[in-house]
Amino acid sequence: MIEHVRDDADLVSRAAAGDMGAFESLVRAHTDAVYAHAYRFFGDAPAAQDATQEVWIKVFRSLEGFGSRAAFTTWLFRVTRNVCLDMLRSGRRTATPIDPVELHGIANDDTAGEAAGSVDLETAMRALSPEDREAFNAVALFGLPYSEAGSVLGVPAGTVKSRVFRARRALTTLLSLDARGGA
Amino acid sequence: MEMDCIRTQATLSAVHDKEHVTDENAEVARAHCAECGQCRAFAANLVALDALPAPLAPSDLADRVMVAVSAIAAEQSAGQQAVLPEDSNTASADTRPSSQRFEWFVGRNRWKGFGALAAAAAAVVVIAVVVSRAPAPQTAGIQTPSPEAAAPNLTFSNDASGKSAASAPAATPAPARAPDYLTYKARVYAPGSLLAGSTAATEPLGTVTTAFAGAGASTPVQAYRSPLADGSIVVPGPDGSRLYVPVARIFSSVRYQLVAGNAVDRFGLWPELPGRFPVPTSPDGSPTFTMAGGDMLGVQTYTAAGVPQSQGFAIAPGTPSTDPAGSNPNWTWWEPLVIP
Repeated sequence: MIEHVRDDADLVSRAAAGDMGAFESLVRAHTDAVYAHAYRFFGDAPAAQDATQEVWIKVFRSLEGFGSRAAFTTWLFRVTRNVCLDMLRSGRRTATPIDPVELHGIANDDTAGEAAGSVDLETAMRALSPEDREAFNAVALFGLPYSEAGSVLGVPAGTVKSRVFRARRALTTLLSLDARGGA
Repeated sequence: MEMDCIRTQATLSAVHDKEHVTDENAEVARAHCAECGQCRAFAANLVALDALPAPLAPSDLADRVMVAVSAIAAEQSAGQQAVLPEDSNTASADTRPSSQRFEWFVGRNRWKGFGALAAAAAAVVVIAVVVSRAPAPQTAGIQTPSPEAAAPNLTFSNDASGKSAASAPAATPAPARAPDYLTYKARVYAPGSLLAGSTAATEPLGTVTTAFAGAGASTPVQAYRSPLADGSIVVPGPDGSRLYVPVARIFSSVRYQLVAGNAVDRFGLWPELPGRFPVPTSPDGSPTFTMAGGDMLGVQTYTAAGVPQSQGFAIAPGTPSTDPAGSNPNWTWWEPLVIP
């Protein structure tokens, strides 16, 4: 496999200059992250597909103005988040409801074991607060540093750190990944 | 959970994300983990959590995105032509290297190196423009082969008022020169992005035989597996290693790639039907083909006897220059895209 495919910045630069092949490379490289975030935001595939398409159209229309002010993934996460929020505000889609049962499982370590192992990752995701979930997505899906994620989410990097940690603790518990005190 | 565990696991989470952690915090976490199995397990679980698959986009979503985006690009291009009509006259005087001339199919277009899907989407837009602004020789729906449709290239010109208008000059001949196609296992590819670095570490595929833009003899060139796993291949050429993307169209949500029956062994040659299909003698495809439904762009498809449409179909000559088939003067044959 080629190890030196041009990185995002170069692809963005080429795409902005009119290279559709470069833009297609960006789309293929990052569509899964965009889709996954939207899927977790809305909780259904059709909405996630609509959002993904809208995200890339916005990115395409804004390429020339993007420059290199930030990492492409930071910008992409910002666009993705805004598109999802806009779709929600416009009433076109509804957000994933939080599952209170799973939340109870996380809130109380004594009952966490009952929920643990009975859910898959996406079900467990629904147990997270929207704030924790999007912080986790920014870092885990888009690979953003805490500071960059914080700039998009409008919170300090330390808050991102706390949210991501909280999300990971909840997920590992619900997914029964935690060895829970093993030696 | 002990407060030390919470602090340690928060540190582990940050380290996992490659965030800066002070030496002091790192040492505290290290010392705690040495004595706490729960926190050691948490560290291992961070890796396990990463390994769980996130929701994957449907396999054709990126294709659909590119179709939509390409339609916008074509729309921008059309608008650009409408206000700069004199530029349409410069195409014939284009002296750029052939490797840079793939933009021809949407006229003067700053979007170079379109993949096949780009062309497909462009067709949607341009056809729509024609339908809404001028009596066109074909409809926006299924394309019926006709003498008029044989050369449906579109140009934009200014009328006396200075306003732009679209027209369909049926007399405009199809471009004599095809895009910079090459073939691998008879399947047709068009130039995509240049790649940085060497192809030395890539997995070799077979060879493509091409002279690129040269006039000399064609030679076998080693092709390599694409890092994108999207059907493209990597071919080292005169200007470096380049992705070559499948020339493809979408039918029933499946990508079909152009298959050449002739040796497309240098840039500018039009693919022809595979030899097993005699060239139809009638615009309706007979006796070789039978008219079937339209593809995603509403372009008429034709089936061959004994070949289910899911396994392949033909397209008549004279598609718009913006179609994935370009303005190919030949009948073309399309089969499901295969990832090399």
